[in-house]
Amino acid sequence: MLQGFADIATFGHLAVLFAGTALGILVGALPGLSSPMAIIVLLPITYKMETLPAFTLMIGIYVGTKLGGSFSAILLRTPGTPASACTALDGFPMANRGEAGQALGYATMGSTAGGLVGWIVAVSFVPFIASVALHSEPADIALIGITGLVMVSAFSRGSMVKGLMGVMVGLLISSVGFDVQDGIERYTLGQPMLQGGIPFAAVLVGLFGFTVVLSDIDMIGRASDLVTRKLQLTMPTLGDMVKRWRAWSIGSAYGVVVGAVPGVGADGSTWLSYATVRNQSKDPPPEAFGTGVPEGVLAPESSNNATTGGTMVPMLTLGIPGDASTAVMLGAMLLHGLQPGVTLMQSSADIVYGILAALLLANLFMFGIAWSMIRYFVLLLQRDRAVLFPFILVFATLGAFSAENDIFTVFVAITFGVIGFCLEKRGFSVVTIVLGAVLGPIIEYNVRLGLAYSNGDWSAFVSTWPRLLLVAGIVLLVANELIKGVRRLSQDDARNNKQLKED
Amino acid sequence: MQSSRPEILLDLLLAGAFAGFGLCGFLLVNPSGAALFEGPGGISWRTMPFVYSGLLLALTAIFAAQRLVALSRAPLRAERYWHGLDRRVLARRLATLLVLILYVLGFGAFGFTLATPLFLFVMFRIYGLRDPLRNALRALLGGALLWLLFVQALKLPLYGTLWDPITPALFRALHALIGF
Repeated sequence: MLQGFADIATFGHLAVLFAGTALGILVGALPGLSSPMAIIVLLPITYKMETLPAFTLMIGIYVGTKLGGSFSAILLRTPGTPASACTALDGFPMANRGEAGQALGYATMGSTAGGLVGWIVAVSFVPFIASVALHSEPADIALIGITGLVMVSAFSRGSMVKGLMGVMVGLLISSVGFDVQDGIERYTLGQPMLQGGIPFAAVLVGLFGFTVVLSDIDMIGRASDLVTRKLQLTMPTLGDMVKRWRAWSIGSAYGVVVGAVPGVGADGSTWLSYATVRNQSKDPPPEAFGTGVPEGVLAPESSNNATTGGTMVPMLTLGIPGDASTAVMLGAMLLHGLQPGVTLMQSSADIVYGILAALLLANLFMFGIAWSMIRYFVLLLQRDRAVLFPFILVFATLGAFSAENDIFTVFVAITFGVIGFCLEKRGFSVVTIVLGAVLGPIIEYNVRLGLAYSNGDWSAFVSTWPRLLLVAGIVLLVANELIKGVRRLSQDDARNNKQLKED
Repeated sequence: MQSSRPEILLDLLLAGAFAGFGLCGFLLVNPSGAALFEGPGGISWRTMPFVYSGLLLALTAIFAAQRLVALSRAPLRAERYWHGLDRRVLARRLATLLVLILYVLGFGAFGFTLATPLFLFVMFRIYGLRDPLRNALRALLGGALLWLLFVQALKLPLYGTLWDPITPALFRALHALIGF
């Protein structure tokens, strides 16, 4: 770990991390913009960077957006990111009664505390899980990949059926090009441009860049009225934080655990932690939540930032992302020539520890930046998207172009942007497609290698206890969805019958 | 919340697209009819894509069935859905796509330097910024900064293949100004 800190302790790396964190706060503060989109937009810049500074920049953005989202939630009642929606419940009433500075102070402290707890968990668990994962065989790796895909589908937006459909599309996308084992073309339609597969950068840029702009065009021209323009950030004292230890510790615990579950991300953890803290609270009483109590800001904000540590565990040890941002980072790993998965720790330990070191420093930078520059970020909250979106389109275009210096990749990206827009509008999560595309080659390679090791015996996939557990987990998740579907149908029937009787 | 009929019809349309994608997975797997060499466990180059396509078709069938059941129970709120659509937003989306495609073709033919300020200027107008002078200023300044970042600093090959008089001129001007 110390080597990780030593690796990033250069002026260049720290400057990149600082800039990334500041940009992340800014992006997070602007409703409609998100961390995956910001990372995608900066892809053309990160191509030209070495691997570690490129990921340092991404980690800075990832951590910064978590806090930035709370600014608009508190001052505009419009969350900058979905995960910050919960913060508005108490943050906005606080701002409304003239305590905007305190609300932002609690958000900053909560985010920092959550980020630090998340980092401690990540640093404790990543080497341990990675060492266990290293003993895994191809059959284990294939099953871990499949479990990850099923989990993402189960916990993604919409139903599991929608999630799995997205995953299958991603897996088919990953099948395009030469089959690495047999050297036979698949889905190339005779086009030489497709022999190397669909450019992954184009898929990412399309789904997280163009899709976002197309979806959020309706935000253009909407007025953003700040609750106050005279802002003085007031940090809570150590005593205030100790007094409210339950709020931020429960929030952090939820954030770390939920963040480590693939596909759930911070959106779910903030609401879970808020509900738990409110229900268990005696002072203030549960009824006070929603009227502007600091605990209502601390719990979701600490939870939100704690997920950054939680998501790192499956991403760095198993190659399975916890949320959309880590899915994009996994894609960026492929673009930088890294092989995400159980062997990452073995082949690129320096990068893994560098990323973990950057995670801690990004949290500290985030605190410092928010403390000293919050006023300037708030000013930018009122900027209209009409100026911003054309620039995002140019950045996204260049992100796709620079992957292969070819206009073809830009058209692929635009196509995926339209597909992503249509899917998002109908409640599908584009993260599932990206995940299928990332994990597809890993799963196929290891299924075939596992079968080669076992002389074609398919029972090798259930021949050990860990494999049986993984298969059982997959079956349970699918069965749970089936039961939920049947229940939903019977509830709908009951509701319809009631409606008919009333009519 | 229950979906309205037009929303369910859109879902069914999407299901049709998914089914088409799944069918293509079976039909277009190899353009030249490559021979099958079954490996251990009877797995070949087309096994996994076929599994994915088959699962996609099965899932699409479940999704379509769910939506058809929902359609039979959906309230007739069609007019509310269509009235809820903002035509200006729809027009902006279509214009964004159209101008974006023209921009990509434009910077391939005439270079990033010429195409980007034009693209920015048009997009500002489409997004409702009406002052042409301010838009032009924003587009020129933005275009110049982007050129400095991507062409000058990051050395991306963003020259026009058809006719690009500005990029070489800018390089010469920059060279004369600061000597590199």
